[in-house]
Amino acid sequence: MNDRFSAPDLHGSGLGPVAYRPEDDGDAARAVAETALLAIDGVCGIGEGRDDTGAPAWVCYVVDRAAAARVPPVLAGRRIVVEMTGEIDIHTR
Amino acid sequence: MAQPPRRPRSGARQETGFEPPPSPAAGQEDAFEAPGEGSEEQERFAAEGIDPTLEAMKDAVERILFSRGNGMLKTYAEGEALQGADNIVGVGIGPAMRDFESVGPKGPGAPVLNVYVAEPMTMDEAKAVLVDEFGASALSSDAEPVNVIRTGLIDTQPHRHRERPAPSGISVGHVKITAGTFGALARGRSGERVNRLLMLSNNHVLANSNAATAGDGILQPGPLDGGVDPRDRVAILERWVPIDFSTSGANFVDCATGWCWPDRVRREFIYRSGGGFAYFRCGSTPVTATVGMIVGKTGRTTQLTNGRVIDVSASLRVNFGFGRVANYRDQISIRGLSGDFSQPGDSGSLIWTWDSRRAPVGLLFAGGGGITFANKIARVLSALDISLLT
Repeated sequence: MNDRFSAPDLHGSGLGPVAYRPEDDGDAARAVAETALLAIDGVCGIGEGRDDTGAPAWVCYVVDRAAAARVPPVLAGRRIVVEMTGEIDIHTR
Repeated sequence: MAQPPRRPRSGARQETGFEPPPSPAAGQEDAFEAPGEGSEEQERFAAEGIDPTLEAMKDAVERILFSRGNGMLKTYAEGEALQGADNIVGVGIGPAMRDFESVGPKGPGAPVLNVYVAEPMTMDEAKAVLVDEFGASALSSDAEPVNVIRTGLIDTQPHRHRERPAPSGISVGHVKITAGTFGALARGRSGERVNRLLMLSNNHVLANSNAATAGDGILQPGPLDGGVDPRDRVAILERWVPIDFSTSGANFVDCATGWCWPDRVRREFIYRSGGGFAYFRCGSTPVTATVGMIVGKTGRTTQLTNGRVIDVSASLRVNFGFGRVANYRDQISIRGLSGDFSQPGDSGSLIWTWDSRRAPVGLLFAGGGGITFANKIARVLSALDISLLT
């Protein structure tokens, strides 16, 4: 069924790594929150979600309870929801 | 187990009009084993009837085996070795074989009892247990061998098996990794890549976290699940976005494509249904994840699961092992609705909306503490210059 196609050519056929460097479109408030929270020992990530009432909140990913205790409840007027993830690992077996 | 939204199933169909990847180098074909006629033992076993006494002994062992409680599972889960009767997990009848050192006076191929064990056991140990605890007194004779076959505990089959054509959601991996998941089929958007049928998954699944070379073999199942190169090749590594491990680096995607042999893959997604496997299709048009969105995935380890998006702009430090940590920005976070949304081995799974569209949302790549992280699918498709073919 593939007779009409030319034979594959490993050279110059677009195989290999490609760079991906999109524009950074982060806002200033986010940048400030990210800098402050990622500076806390045991914080491994930060994001934006919603709190229990549905209001916008910072999401703070931490490695353990000790790190969770170091995270402030509110930052720049937004509540912080803490998620205890442990170290975040790639998910190959 | 979670059930997917209803959608008509479709049978496997061969993808046509795609250019196959380069053939294996000269000589590699020799590594494929030609189908054989069967061993001497198998031929004799097929021709010989089974002694009613052996059949009755197997039935008696089976009755006792099935009547035993599940205490052995608790023992095993607690890390204790299984011993004696607890170590026997199955019984059957097969040919006496030299491989099992079970060739007795009746010669190779003569029907004997197959005993499946969770942990290694000698034939004498197995026979002693069968005589003492299963009442198989006939086995006390040295003239009655058994095949002792180590299987480990026998689990229900997750998506780790070999299947052709291989569906999305099943075990795959670069020849030098362990195992991840075949996310979905795709095709290039431009140039000669339009004529290539591509497999989408993670860089760390298909490109060994930057350590691979274009043209390397992609196996189904992945090496950890028994995939062997070149016998189990379904694709070769085609394109990947390098992961930046520098402390100031900012990554957005962990993605790669394999160039598939069209007759070795299919666009359907696999999941378990009842006692077997079933298949479904996903949409090809991506949608943007929103907080609260219910999403699903099917993957190599946890199979079909669903979860809720809790964050759509996470910045993370992700551990790739061997001391390598990469910074990731603009990621999706998902919490499972009933149990974990993913586990190790599910990397590379396509994540889609849990509704009738099953629209692509993300590419699963990491997790921790019951939360799964995924790249935004629009970024993945843009970075690799591909369109999904689901």
